[in-house]
Amino acid sequence: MPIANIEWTPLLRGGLEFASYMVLAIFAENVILARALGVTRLLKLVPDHKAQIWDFSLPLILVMGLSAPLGWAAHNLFFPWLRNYLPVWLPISALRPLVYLTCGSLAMALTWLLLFVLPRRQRQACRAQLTLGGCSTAVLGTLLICANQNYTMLQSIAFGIGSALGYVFIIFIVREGRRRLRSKDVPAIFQGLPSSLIYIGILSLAIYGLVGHAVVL
Amino acid sequence: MPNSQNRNNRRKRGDHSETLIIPHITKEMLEKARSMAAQGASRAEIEQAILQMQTAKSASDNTAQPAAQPAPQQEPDIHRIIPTSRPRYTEEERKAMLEKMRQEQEQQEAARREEATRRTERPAWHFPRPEPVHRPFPHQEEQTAVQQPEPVVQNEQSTQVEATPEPVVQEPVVQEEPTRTMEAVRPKQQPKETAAAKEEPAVQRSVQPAAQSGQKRHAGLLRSRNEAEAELNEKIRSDHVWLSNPVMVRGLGLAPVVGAALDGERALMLCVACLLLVTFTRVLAVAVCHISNNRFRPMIYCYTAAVLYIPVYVLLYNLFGNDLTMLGIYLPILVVEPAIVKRMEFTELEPIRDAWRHGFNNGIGMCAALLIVGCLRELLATGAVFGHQLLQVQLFPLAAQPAGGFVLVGAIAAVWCAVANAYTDYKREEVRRLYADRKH
Repeated sequence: MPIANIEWTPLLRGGLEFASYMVLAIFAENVILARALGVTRLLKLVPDHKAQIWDFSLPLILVMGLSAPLGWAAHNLFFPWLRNYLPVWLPISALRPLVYLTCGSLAMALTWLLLFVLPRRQRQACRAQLTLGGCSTAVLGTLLICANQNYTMLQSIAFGIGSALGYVFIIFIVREGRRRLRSKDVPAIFQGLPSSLIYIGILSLAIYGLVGHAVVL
Repeated sequence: MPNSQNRNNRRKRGDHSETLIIPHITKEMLEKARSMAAQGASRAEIEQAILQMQTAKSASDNTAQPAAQPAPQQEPDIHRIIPTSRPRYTEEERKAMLEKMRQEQEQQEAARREEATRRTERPAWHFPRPEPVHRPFPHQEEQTAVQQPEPVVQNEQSTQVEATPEPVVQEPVVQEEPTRTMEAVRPKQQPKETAAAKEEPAVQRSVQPAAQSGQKRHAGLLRSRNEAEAELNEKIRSDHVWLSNPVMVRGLGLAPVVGAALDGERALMLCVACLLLVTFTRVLAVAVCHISNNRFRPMIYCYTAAVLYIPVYVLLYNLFGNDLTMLGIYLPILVVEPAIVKRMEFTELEPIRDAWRHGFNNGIGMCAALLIVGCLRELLATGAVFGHQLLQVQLFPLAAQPAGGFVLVGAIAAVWCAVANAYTDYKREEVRRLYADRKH
C-alpha cells in the first residue's frame, strides 16, 4: 500500500504566512485607519440606509482578492516586458494607474460572473454596488502597495483579502460609532462629517500605538 | 328589518335638487322662475331672465336717482352672493379705502427698498444679482404722464401684463362691490394715478415711474422670493471653493488630504495634479459620455483619468523631479479618487462648458483644502511652513501621521462648515426679509 509522505512544515509555514499577512492588512496596515484609502466611500456608505453593507462588501472582497494576483502579474511580468518598449521621456510610473485599473476591471468582470451563484435579489443588489466598490481607492491602493512592497503572489492575495476584510471591519465599527455620534451631546458644528473624521482619527490612534511608526506609503 | 339610510349621508347623494341662489329676488321674479322651470327651461336661462329683470329694476332706480351712481353699472357676476346684512359703501368711500391701502403698500415698499439699498452696500458677493423682470416701457411711461387715465383697479390681469411685454390695455372702471375681497396692491403693478396725483403737475408725475423703476432695479425686488431663494441655493451649491468645498463640506478627496498632504510641498504637488486631473477628466469624460450615450460612465471616468494621468505625471516629473516619489501611492490613486470621478454616479449629462467650469471650480476648492491642511499640518508637526521654520516648538507632532490628519481635518471641517452655514443662513435670512411680504 503506497504511503503519501506529506511535508507539513512548508504547508504550515505558508498558511501562517498567509494568515499573518491577512492580519497585518486587517489591523496593522488597515487601508482606512493607516492610509485613509476609501474613506470617502466609507463615509457615504455608512449613513446610506438603502445600501446594505454586505451588498457593497461582498463584491469588494471578491474584487480585491481577484485583482491581487493580476496586480502581481502586472508588476512582475508585464512591466519588465513593457519597460523595453517605452520611450525615454515616458517613465513607467506614468502607466501604473492605467495598468492596475485594468487589473481591477478584469477582477470586476470576474466578480460579475461569480455573483451568478447568489440568489437573484442579492445578485442584483451586489451588482449595483460592484462599480462603486471596484472603482475605489482601496482597490487601486492595495494593488499599488503590494507592488511597492514587492510581495509574492501568495502575500499579495493575502494582503488583498485582508485589506478587504479590514475595510469591512471598519465599516461596521464606523457604523456603530456614527450611530452613537448622533447624540445631542455632540456640538452642532461637529455633527456629521467632522465627528466621523475625528472618530476615525481616534481609531487610527490605536493603530498608531500598535505599529509605532508611520506606514510605508 | 330594512337597513335605514344614514341621515347624514343625504348630501352625498347625487340626485338631490339644485339650489338656485337668486339675489334680491322679488315675487315677480319668483313667479317668472317657476313658470320657466315648469316650461322646462334650464338653470342658466332662468338665471339670465332673473338677471335681466334685476338690471331693468336697477336701471329704473338709477333713473329715479341719477346723482347717486353716475358711472355705468357693469354687469354683475351672476354667481356672486351679495348679502344685504352689511352696509353698502358709496363710491367715494370705496375709493378712499383703496387709496389708503395703496398708500400703506407704497410706504411698506419704500421702507423695504431702503432696507435693501442699505444691505446691498455691504460687500456681499453672493447676493442675488438684481435682475428686474418687468421694466415699464418708455412709451408706457409717456402714456402714464400724458393721458392721466382714470384709476384702474387691476387684479390678476395686471400680473399677466407684467409677464408679457405688451402694452397695458386700459380697462373700463370696475365698480367695487361691498363684499368683494380687495386684492392686495402689488408693488409690481404699473404706477396708478391717484386722486391726489391728479392735482400734481404732469412733469412731476412723468419723473416718478422712472425713479421707481430705478429703485426697483437697484434693490432687485422685482423677482419673486422663490426665484431669489433658488438662485441663492444655486450659487451656494455651485460655489465649490468655500461654501460647497469638495473636501471640507462634501467629504470628497479625503485620501490624499489625510494621507499625503503632510507638508506644504507635498500639498503643492497634489494641488497641481488635482487641478489638472479634476478639470480635464471631467471635460473629457463628459465628451466621451456624449458619444457613448451616457453609458459605461464608471469605466469612462476612471479610464479617462488614467489616460490623462500619463501627461500629468510627465509634467509633474518635469516640475518637481524625484520629489514626486514622496507622494507614494497617493498620486496614482487620484485616478479613482471620488473628487475626480464622483460625477460618474450622476445620470445627468452636463454640457461640456459646464463640465469645464465645475471641474475647474472643484479643482480650485480641492487645492484650497490641500494647501490649508498641508501647511497647517507642517506647522503643527514641525513648526515650519514650506520648509521655513516659524516656530521652535512642535505643537502637535501627531499631525504628521494619518491619525492626526483625520483629527485635524475633522476640526477644520467643523469650523469650515460652521462658518459656511452661518454665512448661508445670513444670506437666506436676507432674502427672506427682502421678500417678506411676497407670497409667490
